[in-house]
Amino acid sequence: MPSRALTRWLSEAQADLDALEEAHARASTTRRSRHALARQLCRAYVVSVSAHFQRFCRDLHSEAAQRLADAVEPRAFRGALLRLLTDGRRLDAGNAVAGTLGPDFDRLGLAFLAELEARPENRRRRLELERLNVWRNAIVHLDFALKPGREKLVRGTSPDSVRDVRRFRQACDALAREIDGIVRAHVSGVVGGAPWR
Amino acid sequence: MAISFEGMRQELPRSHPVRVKVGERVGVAVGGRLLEATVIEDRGDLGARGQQVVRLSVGEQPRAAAPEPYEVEMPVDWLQPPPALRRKRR
Repeated sequence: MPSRALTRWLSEAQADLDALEEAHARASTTRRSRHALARQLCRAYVVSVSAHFQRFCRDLHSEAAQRLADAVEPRAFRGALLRLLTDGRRLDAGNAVAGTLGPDFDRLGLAFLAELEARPENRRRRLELERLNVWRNAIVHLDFALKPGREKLVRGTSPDSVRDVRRFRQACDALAREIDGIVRAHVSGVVGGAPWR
Repeated sequence: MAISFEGMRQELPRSHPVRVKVGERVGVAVGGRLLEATVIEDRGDLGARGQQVVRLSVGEQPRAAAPEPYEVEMPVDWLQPPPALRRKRR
């Protein structure tokens, strides 16, 4: 049984993103008035991919925390464990990037980034995730004067290029499945049974 | 308050249909005491067997016994009636 987080990513999130993809395709014509619309839709697409991926990560973290706490004896300690796992979680306020995913999932007992990047293709995907969120922040803060490090990171990509956004989305989709697998294996090992119920 | 807290205990069957809403006051058992908490987010059905999970702010009320406010996510069947509601019922 997949996690509810992954189920939601594969259903609700993909439907939302497909709707933006379709709207962008309809707006993409050579007419200048429509070009501006396509650009705005492309930026909305960037923000939406980032938001849905953050929700997936946060949901998966919550689901795993609930399952781990549910397996703890004595029962009276479960609330204290849940507090340790979920209070002040970085994903509650920040984008899903290495700086939030690592510390938050490590609380569950994982060496998260090391496990994720044990597969070389995930390093490239994580880079795409970082780029996605640089552009996401630029869009929502209306600040495209990027700091040198961030400018270097996103060089050659654009939030107005639907091809780039599709690549970011594909990276997020692959990462969602990878992260779900890592967390599933970890939770299953700790509780000694099915990870999700 | 629209919902009934009757029977909201850990011993309930996990399929118990109680749902809580953002803004509701609930009770959370901590260290043998019952603290008042406010539901600040509905996290969806992320608990065991699809149970609703909520994010709570614990200890924000002036008379709460918690030394400082904190947030925690909990499944609804771990929640209890808020302390004030329990006192009225006695």
